Amino acid sequence: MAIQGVQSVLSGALGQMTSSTQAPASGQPSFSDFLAQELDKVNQVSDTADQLAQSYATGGSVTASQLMVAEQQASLAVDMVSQVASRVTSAYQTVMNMQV
Amino acid sequence: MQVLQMSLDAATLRQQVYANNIANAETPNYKRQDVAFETYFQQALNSAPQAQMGETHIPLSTSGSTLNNLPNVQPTVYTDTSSTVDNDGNNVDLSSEMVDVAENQVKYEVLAQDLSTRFQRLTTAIQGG
Repeated sequence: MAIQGVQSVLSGALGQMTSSTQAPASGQPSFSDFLAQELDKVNQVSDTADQLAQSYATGGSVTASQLMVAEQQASLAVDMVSQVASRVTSAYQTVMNMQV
Repeated sequence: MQVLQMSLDAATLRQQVYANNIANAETPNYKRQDVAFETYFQQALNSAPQAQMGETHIPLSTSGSTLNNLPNVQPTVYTDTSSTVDNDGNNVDLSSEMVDVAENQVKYEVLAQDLSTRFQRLTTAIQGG
């Protein structure tokens, strides 16, 4: 389940941010790679929900509970992306408004 | 989304057809009706694009049918002649109609809930939480 990745997202992101003045160590993904990877995961969760919904609607072997869990996971993932986007924007604005 | 909406339409139609069946449970020579929708999809998905399917043949696009390219299937009402007929020529079994109605209702509610979740998700994506 993608939502459990939050802990690793945070630690990974913070680690990358604090060491971002140096060049990224070899083998470690850059922050943008990392972000793209997580967005891919969100997309996968959403695709799974789409497939289950399609299967349920067309009489496939999907139970209502499976569908509902997948839909909630997808919704949570989208909420997560939306929140991350707004927090990143707000962090950027905080930095830009700093008096140097 | 499209499929979900079509499926909701099919569930609505099915509810009307079942209600009609129950209303005509005592009508002499009445044959019960049903709605074919899911079976069309399953047949289309399981068979080769050019396979002939007799009465229930669906014209498929030449590119074949994948999950992303679903055939445009409309729910169709058909008369069920397979079930047992009473003395008065009526083949409606009231309890089995009731079971079908309940099943259809559950499906309708799940689909409606699912669509509502999806619309909510789109709202979140548009408004940014």
